[in-house]
Amino acid sequence: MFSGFNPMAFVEHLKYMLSGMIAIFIVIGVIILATLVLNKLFTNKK
Amino acid sequence: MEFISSILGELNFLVENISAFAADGGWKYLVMWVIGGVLIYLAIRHDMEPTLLLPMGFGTILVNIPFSGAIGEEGALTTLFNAGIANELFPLILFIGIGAMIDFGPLLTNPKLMIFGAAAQFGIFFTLCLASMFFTPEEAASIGIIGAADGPTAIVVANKLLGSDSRITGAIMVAAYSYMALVPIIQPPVIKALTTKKERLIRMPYQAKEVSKLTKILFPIVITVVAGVVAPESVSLIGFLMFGNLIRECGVLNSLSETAQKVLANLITIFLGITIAVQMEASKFLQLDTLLILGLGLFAFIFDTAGGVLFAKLINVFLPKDKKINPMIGAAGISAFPMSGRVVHKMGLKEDPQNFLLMQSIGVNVSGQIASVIAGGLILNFFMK
Repeated sequence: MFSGFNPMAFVEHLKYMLSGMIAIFIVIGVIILATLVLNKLFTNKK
Repeated sequence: MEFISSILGELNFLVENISAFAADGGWKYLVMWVIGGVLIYLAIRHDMEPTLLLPMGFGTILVNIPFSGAIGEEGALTTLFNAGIANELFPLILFIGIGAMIDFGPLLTNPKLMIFGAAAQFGIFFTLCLASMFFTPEEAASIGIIGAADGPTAIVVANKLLGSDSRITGAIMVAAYSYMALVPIIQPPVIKALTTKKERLIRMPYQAKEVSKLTKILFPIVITVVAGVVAPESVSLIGFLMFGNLIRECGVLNSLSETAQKVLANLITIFLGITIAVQMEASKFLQLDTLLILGLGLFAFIFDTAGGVLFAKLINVFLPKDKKINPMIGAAGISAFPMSGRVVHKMGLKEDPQNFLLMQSIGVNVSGQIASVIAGGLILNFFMK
């Protein structure tokens, strides 16, 4: 519930933004690598 | 005379029920009827997410009838809410249907596009920071997840962090679903403001590559394992989504896949929409918080879109001239599938009728679906005590 206006909370929560974005890029990066490997390993042979 | 007064006495309940409108705050019922009517109008007249907004609109009216029998300890809607939303069952089952609907083919053809799905989650985390100025950290995180542009994820995260009886859960659910319907209105002006005409005209020839069946089968399993290891709280979300996709791609469960895509998804959607309305009781919904949450939810969508577009522009700085990316496809990285992908495709066609961005934008769009679920899992990991 609305608990008053605290502008400093924005700065305090920036760490979540930074760590969240870094984590999501790392996870997606791993998924991209895994997908590239899957594509490489299991390409349909003609 | 005695007979007449006894009849009037029996009919006294009519006066009592109607007088609820004259009681303190009685006008709120009427306001909620109008809100319900607007949701039904948007669903029918403007075809905005009708499968959800129409049941939600009708449900809003249903729960805001004074002394409504649909809610309360023995009310049918409350029973449905406890059985399907308070324990996150409906949104998770719906994810099986959504997973069965998604074709990851365009993404598997060009996996690098997935990076835009990650960039377009910026709005979630930025809105979390904004909301923290007004709300507690858990509430701010639940409000930020509106930017996932994904109703089921928003419901699961808000329920886990706040509990189903929080006063702001309803507003979060309504914002998540309403803004998904408003993607074609919200995104184009943001994309236009952040790109030049020259950038919007960039063509990205699509090279169709064959993806093996084994890759399509292994992909949902690999995603579940990777996302699950990093953010264990996201396992149920990503797991149900990918389970639906595995049913689709395995090739031996076509009947189940069809049922998940159509019957199951439709059935759950009907119940989900009307049950969410339990959270739209006038006393819970009509408060300053709701307006603030709706405003912050809009910010989340805008910053998601901006995050995707600006990241594509940044990537373009490092790419050779003939390999540039149309930055509009970055905006498709928000999860709202397939609306966001279509919006980008249509914008491309509007600038140049020969510029077909559909495959790329849908590829980015499905990656947004995966990334938003992972973002939900990360938020749960950050804030669950």
